[in-house]
Amino acid sequence: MSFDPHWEHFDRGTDVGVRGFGLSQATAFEQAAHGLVAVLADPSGVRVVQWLDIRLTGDDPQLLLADWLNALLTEMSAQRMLLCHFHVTLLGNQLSARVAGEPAALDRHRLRGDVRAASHAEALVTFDGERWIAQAVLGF
Amino acid sequence: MHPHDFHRTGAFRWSRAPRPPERVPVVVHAGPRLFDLMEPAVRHQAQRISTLPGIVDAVHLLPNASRSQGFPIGCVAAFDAAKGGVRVPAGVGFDPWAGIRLLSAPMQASDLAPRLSAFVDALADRLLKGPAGGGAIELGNTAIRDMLAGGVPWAVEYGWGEPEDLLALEDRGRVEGASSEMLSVDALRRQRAEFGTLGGGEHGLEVLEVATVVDADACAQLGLVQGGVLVAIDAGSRGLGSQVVVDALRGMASGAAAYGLAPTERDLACAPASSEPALRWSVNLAAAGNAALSNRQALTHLVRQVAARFMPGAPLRVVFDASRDTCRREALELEGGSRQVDVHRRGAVRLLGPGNPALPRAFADLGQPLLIRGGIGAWPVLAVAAQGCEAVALASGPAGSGRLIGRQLSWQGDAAVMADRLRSLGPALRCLHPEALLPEIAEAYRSVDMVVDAARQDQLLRPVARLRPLACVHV
Repeated sequence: MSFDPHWEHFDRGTDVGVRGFGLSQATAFEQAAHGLVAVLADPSGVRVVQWLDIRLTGDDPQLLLADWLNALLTEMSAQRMLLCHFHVTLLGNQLSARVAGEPAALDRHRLRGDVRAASHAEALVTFDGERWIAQAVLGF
Repeated sequence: MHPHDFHRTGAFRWSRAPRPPERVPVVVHAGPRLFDLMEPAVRHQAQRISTLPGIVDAVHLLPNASRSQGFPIGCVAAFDAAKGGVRVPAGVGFDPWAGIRLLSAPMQASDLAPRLSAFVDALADRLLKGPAGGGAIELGNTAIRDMLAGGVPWAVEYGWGEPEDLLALEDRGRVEGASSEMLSVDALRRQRAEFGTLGGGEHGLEVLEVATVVDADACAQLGLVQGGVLVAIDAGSRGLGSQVVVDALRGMASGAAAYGLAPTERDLACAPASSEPALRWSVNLAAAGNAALSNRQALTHLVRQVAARFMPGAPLRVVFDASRDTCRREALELEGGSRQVDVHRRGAVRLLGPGNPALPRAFADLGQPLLIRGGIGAWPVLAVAAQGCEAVALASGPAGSGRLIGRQLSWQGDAAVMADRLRSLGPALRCLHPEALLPEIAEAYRSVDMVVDAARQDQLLRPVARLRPLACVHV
């Protein structure tokens, strides 16, 4: 089957929805992360300079997705950086990820939005018969 | 919003009777045009809120009501703990105690005009430079914990203002019951990185001129004159506040089943007011409130430092400070008696009319001031709470004009048209990245005048002055 992982945004008024698509749940989570960063800044200008590891546990895929996106927001906020590379492994209820990016630089990075959190509203992790979809709404 | 469920109960008010499992009516405070502008999803959200335990009076949708997560923007609901009432993080949103601080400059706009461009350059230099859009102030661990417990009184003692500043602040600039003891490590990490910053989105700074005096007596009481210069700072609690709400939602969503909430209702995750999760959230929320109030005080300090170079004489005076996105326990007259209820105001501010004992002394005879902003380029309206407004919408009013075009759709709009619009603001706009402002221009928001008129007609507020934007500074 030929399928390119990708992401998309959708309108939710004040907020913005993000959907990641992939052949595995982990890839869909990675794509949702790319979609998140694309709300914050133009991702094409972000380089791989610094690596981080993220570990999460959760039995509920929807909550785990929100936890994943919020963990990324927390690290980007606390470490004043932008992320651009995501490698997710899902084993049972364990999520482990290796992510990378660089310190935010106002002269190089084209910032777009100020996402405050990923909410549980409309959170969705599902397989539609062809691909995995990881969907969340980002609160502003 | 489909009008058939709603009965028009006034020229600017509509009501929908509850249908089980809804417990209270939904009341919309808007004229016909604004009523039609509200998406159907807003009504559905209000109906779902009306099913929550312990809710009293009604779910109020203010003239700025627009779709968000869990609670719409411009939505107010109160819960009675004595009746099993809950506390609902979505009723506050992800930016607790965000708000507007209005400062008055001892100068006429005509006198500032030759130096306006240099003044805004200096403001932008001070407020926008730094990692990720600011980070202008770094506090040590002890100072952060003291600030989170002490709010603006602590900030003034720290050197970021004058004792007189406190007289114009809600609750004298401090949210009671705050402590940093139960905050997550992540909340504190984010506070350290983002204190003293404006933040993005609707947050920013505007230099304004009193263009039209609508109520001369009220202007005089506020110390404002025709042509005078004002500075409005719109800012919130930054990363700490967001993390506090994320942490609370996560905990309450995990425990939703214990309170009879289905997984599909996680955006309204809540907990009984007396439960451990709700008490923990309340303490942390109060800390987030103090972070927001202190952030606006710190920004005031920075703006005053810049202004001193351009406006000799007295420092900028604090006119008022009004917080939105709050949850407070308040005594309200409901069902024929005074009741202590937890009032959740999402995209709404507290309105206390003249004579209300909870008002700051500076406004005791005037009522709480508020500033209703539209997007960038729109003329804000300064207003005060109307006499008796506490009985209209749980002592609440709109915190802004409300979004007309969704944020994501704004990004998809005609970039050239948007860019022209931003350019039309000319040298008065200072921002890091114009693209980030596309969802924030006036065309993306409802008419300020329409929203103010609806709120005025429904006895919520009375306009005091119309303000002309001279310049703005945004991330």
